[in-house]
Amino acid sequence: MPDEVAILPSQASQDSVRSALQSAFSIAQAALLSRIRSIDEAEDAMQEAVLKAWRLWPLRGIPEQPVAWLIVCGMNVFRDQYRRDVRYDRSVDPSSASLAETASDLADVGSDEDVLRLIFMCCHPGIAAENQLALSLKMLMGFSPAEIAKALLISTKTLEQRITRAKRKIASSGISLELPRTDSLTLRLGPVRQTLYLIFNEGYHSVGEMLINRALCRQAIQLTRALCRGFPDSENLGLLSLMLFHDARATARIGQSGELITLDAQNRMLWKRSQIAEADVLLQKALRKAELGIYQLQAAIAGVHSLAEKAEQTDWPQIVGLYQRLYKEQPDPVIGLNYAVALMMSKQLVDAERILQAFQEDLKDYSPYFAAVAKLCELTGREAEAAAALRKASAITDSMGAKRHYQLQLAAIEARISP
Amino acid sequence: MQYLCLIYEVESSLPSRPPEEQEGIMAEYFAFTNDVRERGKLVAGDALLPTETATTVRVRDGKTVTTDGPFAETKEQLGGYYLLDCADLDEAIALASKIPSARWGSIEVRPIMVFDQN
Repeated sequence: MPDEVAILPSQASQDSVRSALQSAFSIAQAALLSRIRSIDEAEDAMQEAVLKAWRLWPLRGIPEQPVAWLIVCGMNVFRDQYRRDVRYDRSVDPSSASLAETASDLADVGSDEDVLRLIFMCCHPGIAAENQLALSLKMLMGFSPAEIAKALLISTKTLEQRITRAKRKIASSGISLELPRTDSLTLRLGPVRQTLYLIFNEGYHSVGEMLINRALCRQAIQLTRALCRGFPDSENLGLLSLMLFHDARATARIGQSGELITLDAQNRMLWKRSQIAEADVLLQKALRKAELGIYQLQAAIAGVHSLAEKAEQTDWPQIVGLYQRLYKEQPDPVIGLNYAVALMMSKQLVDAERILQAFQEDLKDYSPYFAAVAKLCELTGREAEAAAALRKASAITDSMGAKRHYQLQLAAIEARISP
Repeated sequence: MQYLCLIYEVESSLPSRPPEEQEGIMAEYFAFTNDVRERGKLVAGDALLPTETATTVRVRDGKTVTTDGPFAETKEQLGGYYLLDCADLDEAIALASKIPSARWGSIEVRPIMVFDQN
């Protein structure tokens, strides 16, 4: 039946097939789950549909409606499987999927509601956070277990265990596929935002340079947009705004040899201005509801950076104030570290040093901590100490881009110490 | 779907509170029980006597062995339970969060296993 869906005449490159499949994946997978109502069978149907797309799309071109194509194809796979099973196995319930469905019923595809149902299911607070993340990456992103495991720096076996645990919890403890009722919304939205933000961060700060990274950011944004359309509360808008502010700078933060370029050194001409403007509108809309939360605060901080045309024009005192509030809401060492950096930048060096010292133990394995220490030492004329801190940062980071960045800074300081 | 809500708390915490506070907590428990009963959610519910009254029974090599006291020494002890009939885990969590002891103890929510009749 997918063959009947209109197909563009041109052939398609591997890259365009991959990106079309990625952006269609979550909607098609969610639609299949809503129709089939069994996670494993919906996943199998989707997997077959994706394999078929990989066979056909490069030869015949990408269909006009990739989502509809995948849903029709997946439902055909499910029906064929069902017809085969039904002769031997009566446990499959024919009423669980409408078998009479045809392509014309699918005219209105790409339903946000299906996608939201799937997100809420994967991110149920009854599922351990790491298992939520694993299941979400599998069911919402369409990456293979090997790709996901590599991105999360865990073994494929561990990843599969996490996915299995999440699915078992859903099946056995009464986690429903319905959208949450109003009275459980607060409980349900928190982990959804947290998982979407983790997915985005995984793409944004990930180790190495893999193709999966940009796709993770794009898809986290796509899903957060769907979340905001369904539930436009202030923290959801704040999260979307935060992602858009960061993503607008993505091109500027990686240098030619893959090194990380920090905010102060970025070429701000490379920032996507229209996306920054959209993020700002979303943030203003969120703030008008006067329910401040951690995502709005982080978006506000990203916004202050994004709205400065030059690094020197950054309104550091405002950032200090925002970090102070954020740290009160979420007393986390990494936020404390950023607070200290903001203090440093607004020349409050004594306060900055006091806070850095307080987190010495908590952040002893965190390379940005040593980068901050180096910066403080540099600002206070202790260049030998700055060099030592940079060597430490470079030694403990996993990220090649960050390592190159620290080494470049170190070279500059060493040149000054012994020219 | 039925969920067993197991109420864990430091069992010395209630008796050590002033009498008027204890009465307040008991009144809250009665109100909760009435509420879930009226809404048709209550299957069963009881409070347990303290763990010092527990007897733990094991049969080893065909011999019954008993020990005086609970199965395990834990920081918080099982002090009671509600068996509730809920639409899904969300409803079970929402109800469990209204059990008074949730504010100082912990409620473990366990779905009841359903055996297939076939």
